[in-house]
Amino acid sequence: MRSGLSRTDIQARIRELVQALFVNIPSGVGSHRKDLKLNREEERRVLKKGAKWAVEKGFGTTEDLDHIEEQGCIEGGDPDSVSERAMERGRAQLGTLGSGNHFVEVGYVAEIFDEAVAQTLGLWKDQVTIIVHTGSRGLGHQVCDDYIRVMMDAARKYRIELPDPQLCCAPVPSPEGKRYLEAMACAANFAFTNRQMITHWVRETFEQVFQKGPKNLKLDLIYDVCHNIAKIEKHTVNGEKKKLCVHRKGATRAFPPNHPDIPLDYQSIGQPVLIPGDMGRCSYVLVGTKGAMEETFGSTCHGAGRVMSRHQAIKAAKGRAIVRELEDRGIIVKGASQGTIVEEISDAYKDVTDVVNVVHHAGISRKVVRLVPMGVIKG
Amino acid sequence: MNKRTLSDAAEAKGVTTIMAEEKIKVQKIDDYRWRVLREGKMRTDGIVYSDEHMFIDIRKDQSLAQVANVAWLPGIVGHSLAMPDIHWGYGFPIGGVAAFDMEEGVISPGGVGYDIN
Repeated sequence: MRSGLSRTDIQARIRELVQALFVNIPSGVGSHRKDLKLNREEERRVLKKGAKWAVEKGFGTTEDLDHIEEQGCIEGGDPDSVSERAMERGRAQLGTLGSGNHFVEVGYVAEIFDEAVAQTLGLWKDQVTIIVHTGSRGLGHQVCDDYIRVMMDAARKYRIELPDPQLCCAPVPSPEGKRYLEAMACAANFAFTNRQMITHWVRETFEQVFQKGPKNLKLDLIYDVCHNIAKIEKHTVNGEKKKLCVHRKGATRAFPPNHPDIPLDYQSIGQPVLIPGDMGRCSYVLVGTKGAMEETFGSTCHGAGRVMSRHQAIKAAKGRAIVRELEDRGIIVKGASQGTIVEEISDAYKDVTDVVNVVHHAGISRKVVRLVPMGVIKG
Repeated sequence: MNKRTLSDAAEAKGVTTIMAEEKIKVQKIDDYRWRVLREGKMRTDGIVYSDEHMFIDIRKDQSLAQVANVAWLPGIVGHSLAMPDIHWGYGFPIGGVAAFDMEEGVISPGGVGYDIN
């Protein structure tokens, strides 16, 4: 999200802002927000409609939907393919951030690499930006778990030879394959809805802290992308247009300028790609390129990438005051537990700048701006 | 989804992880691209986007073997791809991209991961 605020407008109140975000955005199971109670039928609607459901309920605007991958709804989601257990886990977790690497980050534009593209995205130097990073929570986790079991059997049934059972799969047109795609679409729709609600609460929190209305704050959604998804897309293979099933696991779609699936206002620049770094360094906004379409089925990187397991990170952080270290660098962090902060220390990740430079130089996406964090909340 | 929870989950299900035991053969294409050479039952090469410096770490874990493993899958179109933020994941590497034919190809939950989003 971009804003109409400059870094100096919020600098003095960042601690208060982080605290208010932390209060207003539930982190874990058993959302403490009283304005949200889902019954089973309503949850089924979420899984079918995605972010559109959220907008209909008053969380955000239709303009938001225009700036979400697939307009916030992957077609073909069928709640009947989602287990009761997954539905149950989802019900208590819609509108929650979750732990692990999920976060809301308030930062500012520190560096501009492409002035013209930045302008089209409405981005300027020192402007305050917000990144919301979360997914489908327990619902998606359960869907994955359920279908790994299904696919272990399916791989045997269809005699698919695997070097590792974890690659278990089924033919795309098989009943098992179709059911997984239906359930996966539901989980993705849950994730779109989840982010849309949190986006709305971020806006409300800014309004509350700065006592300004939406017209002044101008908290507009730049773009919302998937990182872990399989999509049915058209690509050119050996000169022929072909429908393919593209798996992106920790990768982002990066469609080029003039692609029909990207918003009208971005047709001339390509699809925005958001690359969150670890909480102590920086994040990037990139755009998709023709190179990505030719080489990587329109895909690029998704983040920094861990180099340490969570366990190793906890060890590395032992005896260090991580929150204090970050504060010394001007970053206020608030997490539901000390544990999730420690697991996410910068040392546990590759430097996102290295990652982004590779995809930029390889031509599979293009750097637009670099964002530096000021405040982060973690689940 | 994190590494520890993933392997715990795999263990709980009694799934044994078999990584390609033979050494993975890689070839530098240019400053930002590396080829995982097709071997044995791989149907295509792997391509990893990385610079020289990051590739040192990438070689240390099992993620290159995972790029090679994905290339075994039926109906894979083009290469088994990986982005510079590649690291070990459940079955498929995190940072992995793989496209499959709609008729001959497969769909795999491990190719999407636990945090569907």
